[in-house]
Amino acid sequence: MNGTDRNGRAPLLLARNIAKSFGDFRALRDVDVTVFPGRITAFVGPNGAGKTTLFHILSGNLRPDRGRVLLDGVDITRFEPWRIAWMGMGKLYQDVRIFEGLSVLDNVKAALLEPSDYSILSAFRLRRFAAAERTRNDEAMHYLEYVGLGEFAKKRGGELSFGQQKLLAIARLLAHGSRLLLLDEPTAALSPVMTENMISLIRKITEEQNVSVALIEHNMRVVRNLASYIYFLHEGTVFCHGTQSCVLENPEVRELYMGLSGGRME
Amino acid sequence: MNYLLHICIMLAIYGMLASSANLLIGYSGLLTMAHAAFYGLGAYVYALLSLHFNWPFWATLPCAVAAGALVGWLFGLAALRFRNETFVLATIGFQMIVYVVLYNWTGLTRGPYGISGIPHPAVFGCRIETVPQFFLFAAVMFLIVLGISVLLCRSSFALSLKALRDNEAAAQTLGIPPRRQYIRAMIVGSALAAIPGVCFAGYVTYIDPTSFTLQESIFIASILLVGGSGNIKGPLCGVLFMLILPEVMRFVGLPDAIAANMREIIYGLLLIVLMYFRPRGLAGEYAVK
Repeated sequence: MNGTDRNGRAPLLLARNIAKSFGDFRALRDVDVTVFPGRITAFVGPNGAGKTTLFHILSGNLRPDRGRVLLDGVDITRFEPWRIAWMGMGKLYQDVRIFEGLSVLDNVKAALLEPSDYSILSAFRLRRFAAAERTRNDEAMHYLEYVGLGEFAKKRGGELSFGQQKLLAIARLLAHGSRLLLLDEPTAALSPVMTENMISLIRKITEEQNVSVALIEHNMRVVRNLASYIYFLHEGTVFCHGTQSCVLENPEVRELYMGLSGGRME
Repeated sequence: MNYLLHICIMLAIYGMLASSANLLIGYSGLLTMAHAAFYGLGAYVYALLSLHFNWPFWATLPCAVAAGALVGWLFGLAALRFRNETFVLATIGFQMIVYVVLYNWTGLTRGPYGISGIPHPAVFGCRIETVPQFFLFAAVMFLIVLGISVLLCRSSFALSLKALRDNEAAAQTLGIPPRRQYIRAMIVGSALAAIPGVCFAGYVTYIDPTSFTLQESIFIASILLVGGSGNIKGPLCGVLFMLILPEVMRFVGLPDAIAANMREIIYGLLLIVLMYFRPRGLAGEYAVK
């Protein structure tokens, strides 16, 4: 898994020997992970296995005690999250984290800002601002309609349902131009209908937007529907990884994860 | 008449203070308790340069703004390592340091004796001395600061600040650098706070450290809590409420022996009731946390 995939593509994201402890608790122990472009990679495992800690390290929210993370071959281990975002990796938090006080449209427009827009002087470039604002409005509407939230553009972010907030968070990441999305439990706490919508959306963005996805998921139906490669984490280590059949039909995985001794893991 | 104009001048000065603090408290979510320090910095820079070096108003104003921006930047570098409650404590600490420096650096500031005889500002060769003249001057300065605030608050810079205010971690996933943006907000907010300081010093012609205390910073923050923040009209409503209410209560007809204390109690109660029923303030968009 260190070289290229079967299509000859280099890894998009590479993590090597990642270790992280919180006090005496060893959350991650020498974890190796490779994410290839154009595929959906799932991270599964029991609660406390270290999946979210791993995602926090990959996205720059946590520094590992040991190990390196490379995105497109660049060492991002010590990068701050906003720099990693500019390199094309976006993250959906488990608790979503939208900008509740902003309108749904402004939530997406914030993702469309360029570094020059952050400057104080941007406030005084009136003509340029007006033109850029029109473009941003159009682009933001495009992304909202893409995820099915076009009609909610003027609502405040905090007025959306939890499921809609997840869609909004994904729209923001797409608008920012993320090439790799880390989705931490994208279907957790969603209704069955919204779960189906989310599955469709994740599949659609990988096919149409040329976006790769790494996701943490407990819902095995979602994993079976989406993932082409799976990492099974257990007690801070990668217990096994491979294709769906390789991992999900592994008797030891079934025993560890579901307490199953036979049958199919659903 | 002069009484009413004096109130209008103070409304303009506090309008500028509230608008500049709004950029920090309302747009960035940084509950600063050090705004009076930058207000005082502007006042002292104007007083010292105009008194000791005979610098004209048009030269002292940019110096005061630059001093506000510079100190705001230095303070931001240190204080913006902290967030939430610890940031508030850092700003209180900074405010207290500035007060102690103003109070004890007697060679420069004359300490508790204050600086008197500060020249009135002169604009286009016309010295602004009477209250009506100063009313016009303060109104123009207020409109300039308000205009700058409107431009800033409608800008993409403000959108990045509001994103950070609502959720810093999520804003980072969209590439917004928190520390850099917060420091920029601190620079602009502090620079703008120096302008009302210049106006105040030029108006009253005497300043001492007691005008720029922690209590004054809390008062400025209260204006935003009451009026609301995160938009343009909230701070202005707050200024009207907080400055006019005490004046109105002078005419309530309370017995002289208890009037002052009763006014404070009623004033305090009104604030509590307002916060209970309107956490976003009278006209704000953001509920300060």
